[in-house]
Amino acid sequence: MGCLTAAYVGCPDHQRWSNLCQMGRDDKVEPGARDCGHDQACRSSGLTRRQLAFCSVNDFAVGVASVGAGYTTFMASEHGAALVDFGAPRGRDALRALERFSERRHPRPGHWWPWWRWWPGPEFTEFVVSHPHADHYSGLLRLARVQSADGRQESLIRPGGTFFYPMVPRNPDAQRLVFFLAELNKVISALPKNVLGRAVAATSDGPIRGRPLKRGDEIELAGIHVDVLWPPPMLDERTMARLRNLVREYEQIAEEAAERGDERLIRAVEAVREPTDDLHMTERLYDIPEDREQSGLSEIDEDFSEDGNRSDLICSMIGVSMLDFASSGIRSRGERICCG
Amino acid sequence: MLWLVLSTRPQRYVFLGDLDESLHPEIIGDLVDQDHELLLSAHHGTHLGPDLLRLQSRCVVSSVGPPRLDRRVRPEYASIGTHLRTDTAGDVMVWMHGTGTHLATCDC
Repeated sequence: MGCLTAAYVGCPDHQRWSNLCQMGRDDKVEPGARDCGHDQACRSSGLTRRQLAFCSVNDFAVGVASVGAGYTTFMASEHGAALVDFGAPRGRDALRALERFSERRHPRPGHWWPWWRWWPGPEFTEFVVSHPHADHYSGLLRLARVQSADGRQESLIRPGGTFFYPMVPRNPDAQRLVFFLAELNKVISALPKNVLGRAVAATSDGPIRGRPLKRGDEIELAGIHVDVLWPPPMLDERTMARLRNLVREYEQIAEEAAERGDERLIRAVEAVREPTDDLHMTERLYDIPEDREQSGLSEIDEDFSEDGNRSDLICSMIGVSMLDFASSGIRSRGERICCG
Repeated sequence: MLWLVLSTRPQRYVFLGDLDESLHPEIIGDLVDQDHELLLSAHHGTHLGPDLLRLQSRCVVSSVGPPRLDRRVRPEYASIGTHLRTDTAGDVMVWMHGTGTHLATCDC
């Protein structure tokens, strides 16, 4: 077990860490606590310890959880709290991170982050999946399954809250490719259809609004103004060229899979090749059922997140670059699709 | 192609998600010449296009861990700002307020 350490990042010697384990209930530093050792310098630049008790309108906190090669981050201000990605290589690690951050709301010496007291949760008004890879949302699937097994009705996402996700670019070619990649992922990982949106519904005790985001959108997360910088509504020719290269790469994989007799890969690549004219198909990637009873939780019963090999396999191929794809080992080992 | 990149105002927190480094030039114009408080590195700290090195941030956090990606974290992120990795620092909490930024970690 480590100790809570902190530093005044803005102080003249912010590389020196301080120990604020003894932070008291009333936001005052109790005897025994230390700062970075530059009290005078910090005070002269406005960085005093007492300022931990002061919050202005635009103050907010960001928590980045240690979940291995995944993403689970929190945003909180006095206006609300948001969960930006909720994943880990193992979904249970994301759940543990949620518990850790929740515990730190309470004023216990050595375990309290006073500026985290804003968060009333573990409940959020906004939930963002920045990227449809399992290491960004496996915690959500795990939670949905655990709650289903336990019969719990707790809400991770507050009813009436918003589920944000990246918009699929409007180029028909890009939409087709995304759909193909989703099909590929479904076959390889054996994930239930539309599992992400269903897990969102399953972890809220009321209706959740889904909203795709694109470059230029402005939203609020935890009451903080947020600009969306990517993805663009339309992909440019250079990016489309990369997509077309990716398709060619699939074709090579199909040939190699056929040579090896790898049925799973053959089926996956065949799924990629299937043509479709449904240009709205990609929106279904994030479909949210109207209520949790329709979420089909019984199908989210595969303990895929507990197995290292499978956790590689469940990674969606959506958005994986040529570099990632080429280095994933799929061609040499025949079964590993890894995105990290 | 489906990565979200987010940036907050007025306290500057940049969330790069898994953005491919070939696309870093596409977003750099929105981020350069600004004082960022926190940058969450791209793809667990393994993606770093040369354009991104033009950014300055008080702290950079990479959400990373074994077994694969921890060896691929780009050390050049330290030239952007104080670089923390969750596999060595543990949980990271950054509080951005009107007069500065406080940072705490907990390896627990």
